[in-house]
Amino acid sequence: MNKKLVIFSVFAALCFINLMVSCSEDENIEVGEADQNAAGAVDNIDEDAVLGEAFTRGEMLTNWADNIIIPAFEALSGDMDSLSLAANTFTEIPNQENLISLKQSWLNAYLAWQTVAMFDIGMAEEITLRNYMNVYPLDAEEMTTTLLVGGYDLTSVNRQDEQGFPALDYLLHGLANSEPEIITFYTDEFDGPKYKIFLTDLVERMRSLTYMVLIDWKERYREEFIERDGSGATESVNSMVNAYIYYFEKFLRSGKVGIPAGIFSNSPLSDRVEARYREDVSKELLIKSLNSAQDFFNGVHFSQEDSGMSLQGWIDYLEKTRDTHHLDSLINNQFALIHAQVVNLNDDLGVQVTTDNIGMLETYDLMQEIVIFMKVDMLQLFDIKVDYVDADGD
Amino acid sequence: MDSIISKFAIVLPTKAKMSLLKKLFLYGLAASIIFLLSCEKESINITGEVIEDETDTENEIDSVTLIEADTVIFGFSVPEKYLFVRDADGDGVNDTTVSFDGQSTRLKMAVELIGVLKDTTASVARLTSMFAHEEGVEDFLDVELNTSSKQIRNKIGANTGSAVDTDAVRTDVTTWMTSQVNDVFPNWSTEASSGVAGKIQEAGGGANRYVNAYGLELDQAVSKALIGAFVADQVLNGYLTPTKLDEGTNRAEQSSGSVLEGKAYTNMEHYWDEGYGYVYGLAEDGMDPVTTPGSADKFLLKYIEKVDDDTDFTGIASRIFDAFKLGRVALVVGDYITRDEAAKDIMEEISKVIAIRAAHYLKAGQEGKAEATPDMASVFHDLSEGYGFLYSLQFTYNPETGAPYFTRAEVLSMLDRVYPTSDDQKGFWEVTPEVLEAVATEITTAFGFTYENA
Repeated sequence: MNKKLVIFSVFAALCFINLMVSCSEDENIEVGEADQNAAGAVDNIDEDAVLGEAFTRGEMLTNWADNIIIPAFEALSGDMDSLSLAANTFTEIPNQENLISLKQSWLNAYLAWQTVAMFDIGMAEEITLRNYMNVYPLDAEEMTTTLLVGGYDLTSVNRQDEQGFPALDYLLHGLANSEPEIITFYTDEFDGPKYKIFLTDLVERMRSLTYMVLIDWKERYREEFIERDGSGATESVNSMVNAYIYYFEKFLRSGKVGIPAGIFSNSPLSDRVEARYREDVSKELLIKSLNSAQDFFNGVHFSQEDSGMSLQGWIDYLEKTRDTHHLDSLINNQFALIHAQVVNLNDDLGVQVTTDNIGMLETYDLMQEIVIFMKVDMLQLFDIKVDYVDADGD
Repeated sequence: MDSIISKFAIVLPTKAKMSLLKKLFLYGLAASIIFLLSCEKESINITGEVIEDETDTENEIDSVTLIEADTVIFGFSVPEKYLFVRDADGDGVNDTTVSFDGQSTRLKMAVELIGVLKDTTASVARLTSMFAHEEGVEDFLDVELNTSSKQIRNKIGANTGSAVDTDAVRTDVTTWMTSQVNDVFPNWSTEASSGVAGKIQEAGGGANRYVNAYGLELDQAVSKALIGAFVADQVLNGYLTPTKLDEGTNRAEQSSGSVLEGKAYTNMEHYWDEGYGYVYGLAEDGMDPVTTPGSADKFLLKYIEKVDDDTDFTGIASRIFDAFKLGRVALVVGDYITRDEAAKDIMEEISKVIAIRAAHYLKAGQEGKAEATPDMASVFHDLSEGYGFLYSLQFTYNPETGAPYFTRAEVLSMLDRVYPTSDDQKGFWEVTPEVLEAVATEITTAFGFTYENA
């Protein structure tokens, strides 16, 4: 009770000060409105008034859309164009030089994908972009049948584990042990054309889906995203925060680390790592993904040159009036611990789980702590309800 | 005095149990206790704690002592575990009076049967033989099941009160199993589409689901229908009914403590335990199944746990278990009113579990269908489970009306709506989210919870 009284007094005082400041700045705040706040809102403090500086969801949403999400999709789209060019060059002239170039374009685009994978919202959510871009493990056997039989429908849900980056990974690195041998799949008299067409179809589909999402953001969804700045369950902030935590929990923590480390099975599964056929980039992809997640948390622009309103800023803002302790620092420190752990892992996480799975398990544990910080502490602070549940299990 | 307090304390941590105890006081005791009742009323407060009043009088203590010595009613307390004993053979050592091996056996048979419904090498003959197992026939991998005389089929829909309905239920289950073999197995690697049976994969490289031409997973239909037709029917409409429990000279044998020959239990005790066994027969710890359910059960217990995990319904698992214990305790001392009240609580709660899951899966299907890019395999899986739970509603029992919450005719009509196949309609491929929500809401309304909570 005492505490409430103190808060109320401070609040009332600050309201008054705020009012004076407002008046001096010639802003149009009516006395009646301030009184209304003071009368009815002891346990629903208007934090803007208390702190004198505003946090608005709209500012955060604008920062996310304009400085992070749209630029990230722009970059991915650009990399998709390069990938498409490289694929066409390779299918026209399937030689080693063009294969190497195509592999590099694939890796660039795969890294760029890590910067957008968490934005499963808007058109990306509607078309389930992630399910067509990066489902692994690949069903290589089924994919090969599909490719050879032809007449496939890549939009089918049945084909989601036969396309995207993992399928390209297989087609560029996994068909055989050496580059010359891999090239023979594309130069083969009978099946070569089928491999070429399938490769081109996959790349074209990834390119067009990415473009579709990008254009939607720019021409339609950006406006809706920023306008939906309320605190309800279906408003942008709640949806985005849920998408973000879901991504961290399910795809970053479990997909990239937990599943290969055998957290959900009886033993480690080295063939479940990302980019398993390329073998040496799964750590790099993980790091890119972690950096992107941390940057989003801190509102760092995609350009890396500046930052804006973010989850971190919101936490910082709310903690000024509540009894929590530097949750934003806890989360950032935890990211730092994960980084320190991950850099010591093998470039191929598949090798890591086979030779020293403890390192992977420790990584998982560190990531799990962030999940708790975010899903429990942060969401409580934000008053956001988790909108997803774990699957049934049968 | 102290010992009385502690006995009450065991019984009374929740409100629900509170009311049961009140009933026990109200109905279960002889006239000589009425005095005690009036005192006890004051000592029970609504938060569920027993507060023994300092001003309780000496003569109350006297009457308690008298009753303990006389009828032993106050000698019982509801145990933490489902553990009951008597020295049946007079050797000075207590023997357990609880036995439900037959139920565990039948449940194990059903678990194997469900598994074989996804084995494409299985024939109709093999499934039929497993379903209507005969002693000695090698139907099961678990050889102990083969030597058993128990079977699943003769317990399916056995208590509908109508031979026509019972036969219809057995035909339904047989038809689904047969169709799985004849229509789905041959299309195991065909890609399913509207009107075409086959496999369909869940989004994101998820599980393959194997459906008939209308999107129904027949193995799920069987497995979830058994929760009602097999488990709930046996418990709610069979073993826990007064008709069953009081059969023949059961009451007389109960009061004289006449056990069955060579057994430690009376007929009535055993009936109650057989009901218990259908629910808890595959629990890892059958005596303490709420704490240690394990994961072997695929039928009712599994879904009691799932419903209990939902914060909207937390506590239901304990309520069912506690009512089983209370009814069992009351039965032993011949307090049949308390026994039947406990049975009604079990009937109501178990019926509700079935309803909650039926509505839950229809809602999941509705939400999945309403997505911009529906994940049809997941939708079909949800709806197939929902189909079986919905089917199971005809085996529920509403203690207030003495009838199922939905009759067989009502259930079949609801199934026709969520799974429309007349006029060339394609079942789950075509059902609309609106229809799914409407049917689910009818269920939630009948049971007094909301679509949102489902």
